[in-house]
Amino acid sequence: MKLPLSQLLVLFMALLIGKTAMAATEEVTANIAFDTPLSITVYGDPGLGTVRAGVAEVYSIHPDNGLTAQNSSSNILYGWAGAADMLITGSTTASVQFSVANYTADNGVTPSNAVCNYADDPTAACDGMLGGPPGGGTVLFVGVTLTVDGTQTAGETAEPTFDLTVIYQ
Amino acid sequence: MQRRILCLVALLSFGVPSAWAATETITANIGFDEPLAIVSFGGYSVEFGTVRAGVADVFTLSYASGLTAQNSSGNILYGFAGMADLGVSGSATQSIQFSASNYVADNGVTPSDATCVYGNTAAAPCDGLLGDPPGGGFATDLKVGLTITVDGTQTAGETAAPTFDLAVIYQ
Repeated sequence: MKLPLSQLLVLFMALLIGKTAMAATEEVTANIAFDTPLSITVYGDPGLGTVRAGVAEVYSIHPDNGLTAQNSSSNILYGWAGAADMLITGSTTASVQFSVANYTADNGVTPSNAVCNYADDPTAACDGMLGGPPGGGTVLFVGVTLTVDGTQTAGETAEPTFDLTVIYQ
Repeated sequence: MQRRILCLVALLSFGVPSAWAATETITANIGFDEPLAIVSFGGYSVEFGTVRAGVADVFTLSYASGLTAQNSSGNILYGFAGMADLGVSGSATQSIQFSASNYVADNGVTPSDATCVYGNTAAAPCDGLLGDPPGGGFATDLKVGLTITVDGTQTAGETAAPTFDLAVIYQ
């Protein structure tokens, strides 16, 4: 059946209006920000010097107190002793958090209880420690406790390890 | 279009995880060695024998000359005179240094100027003397001489036992 032009026109208009109601447009914004990745630069590992062979002892190197022995200071013989010296670089606005894991013993010497001094904040256990934005470089001193089982002889060395991680909060 | 936007947002959200964290394996370094010890082969003493009572003099016991008197050898009477015969044991690799301090007088006799002969080295003042690693097991020989200043107030039969501290440390 042929429709008159006027009816065709109305039908066309209806279809047109219907098509726009079946669609909606919204401008979506994708947000992205940029910052500096975290990095750790190690200038020196922790050193505990040379200690008495054949004696079980617990030694601690601490950023504030230096090297101490739990049983007798005479078990500390000679050599340089000091905390690890590092630099943390990253964001100037995002805070950080430290964690310590994977303590690994070597030659009868077991590491534990890593302590951190970050940006001159009070020294505290590294694991879980919070810190301000590192920016272009914030100094980090790391100490550790070593438990020596006394099986070592003169001339031996030990190199126990642990992993220190810093993340953005 | 919406699917494309969602994918883009998801990609941006997860980002690059390794840039959010940094991990470093830290190595603690420790070495082991023998402790230092000063051992005695003939007692920890320098012997001056017996000298004239009531006379002030300065007596020296040295490696080169034995017992000498500054004023008169006639003030040296009798008895054994000899340097302290000691030994030092410790590391086979770490050098050492001596110091002499805390000279303490007794009964008018004042000690001073301790001298050391360490191993095969020439006699020298103990204070500040550097030495090679003493080694473990058998000690490295150490002979110690001394000067004593007698004020002359002593009477026959008296004795005096002045002292000083001899220390050895790892360099």
